[in-house]
Amino acid sequence: MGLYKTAPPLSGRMGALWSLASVRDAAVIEFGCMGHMVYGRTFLHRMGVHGGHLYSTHLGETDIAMGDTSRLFKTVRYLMDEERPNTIFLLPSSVPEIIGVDLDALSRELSAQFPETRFFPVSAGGFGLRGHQGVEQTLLQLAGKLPKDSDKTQTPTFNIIGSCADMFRFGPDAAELSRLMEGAFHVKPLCVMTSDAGVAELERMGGAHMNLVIRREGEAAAQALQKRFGTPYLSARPYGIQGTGDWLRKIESLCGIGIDGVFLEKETAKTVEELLPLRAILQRFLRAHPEESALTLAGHTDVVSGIADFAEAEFGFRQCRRYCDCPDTQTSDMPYLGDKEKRAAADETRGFLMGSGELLRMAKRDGRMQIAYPDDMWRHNYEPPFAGFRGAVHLASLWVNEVFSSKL
Amino acid sequence: MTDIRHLKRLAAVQSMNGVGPLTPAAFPGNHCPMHTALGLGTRIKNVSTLVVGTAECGYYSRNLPLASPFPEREQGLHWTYVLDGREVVFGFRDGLISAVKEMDAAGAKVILLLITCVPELIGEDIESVRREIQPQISARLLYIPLGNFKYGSYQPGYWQTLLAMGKLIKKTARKTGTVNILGRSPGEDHIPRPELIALLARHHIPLRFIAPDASIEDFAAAGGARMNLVLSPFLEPLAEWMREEHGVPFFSLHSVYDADEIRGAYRSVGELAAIETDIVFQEAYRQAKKLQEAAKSLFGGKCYIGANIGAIQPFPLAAYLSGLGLSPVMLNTEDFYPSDKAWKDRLVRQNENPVLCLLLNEQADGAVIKELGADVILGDWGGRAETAPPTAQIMDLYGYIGYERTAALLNRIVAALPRKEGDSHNGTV
Repeated sequence: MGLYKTAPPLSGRMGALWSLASVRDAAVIEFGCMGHMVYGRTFLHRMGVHGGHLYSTHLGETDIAMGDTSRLFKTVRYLMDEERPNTIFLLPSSVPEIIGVDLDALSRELSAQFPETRFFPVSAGGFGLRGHQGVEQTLLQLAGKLPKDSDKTQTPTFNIIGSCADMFRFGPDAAELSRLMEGAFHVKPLCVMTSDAGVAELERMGGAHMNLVIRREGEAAAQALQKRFGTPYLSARPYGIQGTGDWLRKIESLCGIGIDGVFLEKETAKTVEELLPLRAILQRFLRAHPEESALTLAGHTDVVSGIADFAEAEFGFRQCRRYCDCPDTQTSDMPYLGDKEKRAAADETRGFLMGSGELLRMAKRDGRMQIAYPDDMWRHNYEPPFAGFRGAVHLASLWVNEVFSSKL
Repeated sequence: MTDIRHLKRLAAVQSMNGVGPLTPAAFPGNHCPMHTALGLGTRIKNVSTLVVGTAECGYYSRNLPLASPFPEREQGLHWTYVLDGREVVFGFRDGLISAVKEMDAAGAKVILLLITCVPELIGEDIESVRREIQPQISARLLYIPLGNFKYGSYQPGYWQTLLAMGKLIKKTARKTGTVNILGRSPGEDHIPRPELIALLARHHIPLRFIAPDASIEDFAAAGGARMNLVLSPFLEPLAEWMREEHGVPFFSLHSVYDADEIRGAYRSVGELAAIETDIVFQEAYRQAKKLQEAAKSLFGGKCYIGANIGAIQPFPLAAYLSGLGLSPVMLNTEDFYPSDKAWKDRLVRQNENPVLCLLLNEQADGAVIKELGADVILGDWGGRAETAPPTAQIMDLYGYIGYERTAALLNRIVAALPRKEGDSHNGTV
């Protein structure tokens, strides 16, 4: 992977941890040196992730030299005495990956000793895996192993797949989508995978009538659920008035439930009304200052695409420069935001910039324009969303505030 | 769960390898030494760092350079070298050399190579790489091994880094009158300037403060000092090394608690600095002696558990308290310093052989500590609000030295201990 002058991309192990950390009624044990989990837990708490109990065994030189795995067994015994979680995720760690610790085999041994507990060895340990692969593999593993056989729920329900800690504002975005689903179709979420899910919700996923995949890494999990339960899925992330309306209409086609027209009309009208003055100010500014009319966006591919399309189509930004935060998902239209690109974006003083807290700090820009990690702030799940109708108003207010705070 | 048979006693421990966790599940545990090494590196002007390790090491630690107190021009470069799967198997020598050369070309003056778990484990010979490329670059390259599996906490990140920074000290035959204060910043105001340092300042003795916000130049000139006064255990290995390499005598003031020993240490410092100390501190000495006597009468036959006391070192403290009759039964031991061998021998000579442990899970550890039946717990722990056993918080005494620290320590322990009818209070004690 090499030299990084700024934050490097996430590892697969981090993607796995960040996907699992919010799962309630479960514990995560990292069989490895404790420094990773100390850092990881602090970061997750800062990102607003609570729920799962995160433990580390720590490892000493002797454990490594002797291939001693007894710390893992002792930690599990402690958890069984103190908490009795019904599911324990065994998280791969870098040092055991090198010395060849077989988490699958250990999991089988543990299952024999503690038959009442489900041990779940997480697969994303390899050194070649990046964060998005860790998220993808973990969601797929969860979808493959946890759901129980079940009939569809009597009243229609849905799952959200891919709401994980690595997506900035994951909680508010998932809440906005659930609100829209309840309003438009009078359906409730069965499982918000993984940011608002316990083991029980994950086990019930098969009962949902549809799966809403809100990031590309969730698609493999949705396909597995479709194969096993016949659940149709939609892979899309709605931004803006048009985008959100289209998203709801696609869901209507997918699930065969008619949209509540009154709700959609009211929501649309309300959003249009709230956006009207914001649009007037912003569009006037962009027309008067064409040199400021570029919007640079850097973050998760699906987030960047969605916000950029909204900004161009509904607000008249003349140019949206798009950067993704994962080297593996880059395209010619959306290159990876490496060190060089970060520096260039940070050095550009004109136009609007939305990206990670790190990038905005490098650029000495307003931290409110953050749409991606990393940052060094404490976050919670009561902040406004970016997705959906409410997200549209929020985004527009950010751009207008940027005009008043630093452009005039 | 009060079974602590898995733990070793002090006499049987040679290094951190012998110190086990009190309870098995770290929740969350201690920071790794890379965290503090990087934190220190970002607070020394013009020092650059290269964290070598996994994406976890590189990503999670970015907040430290982001929070650097220095403006960009003085900040140094704080970069990361992330190993990929191929390098884990076949080594990363070429990539590391290339990265260091790029940092050198970008203007780094001193580069700390912070080598974390994976590169330490796979056995890449970093020291030979360092020796090989040092002549080819203008930046000074320092190798700091920080594998988390060798240590129980963050503390080696501090002392290993400061020890490595010692390599920047220039050899000089001419000693000046300057006194190096190791472990305190010149502008530090959250802890009052210790009494001895204030005395030296009153006598216009030039002081050089070697602490996180010192400059490279401060380190470079430190070898010409008359003596080192060590206020922090994190600087003790550097002081020992400076004594051997640069002939600078040192006085370890952070580990001295006993009133007579403090007087002896101050006297020695005074002789080297040509100032009188006995009379100046006569009243403080008298008060400390009085407190010690009173404490002795109260401590006799009692025992304590050393919990989380931060950077205060458990063995010097245990040796002192044991001398007053307060015996250590279990000590949270976050690191085994080079100097701890001598403290271990001293404690064993005092017939003390406490159990050593690492406290990594406040809730679980708290339950065990509570059941062990010590008379008092020193430091922070899961039962800090309990009255049985009572707690004396002492973590904030880090940075204090001398009579004032001893007085505060004894007063807090005495105040925490339950009183029997007839125990005298005698003013403060």
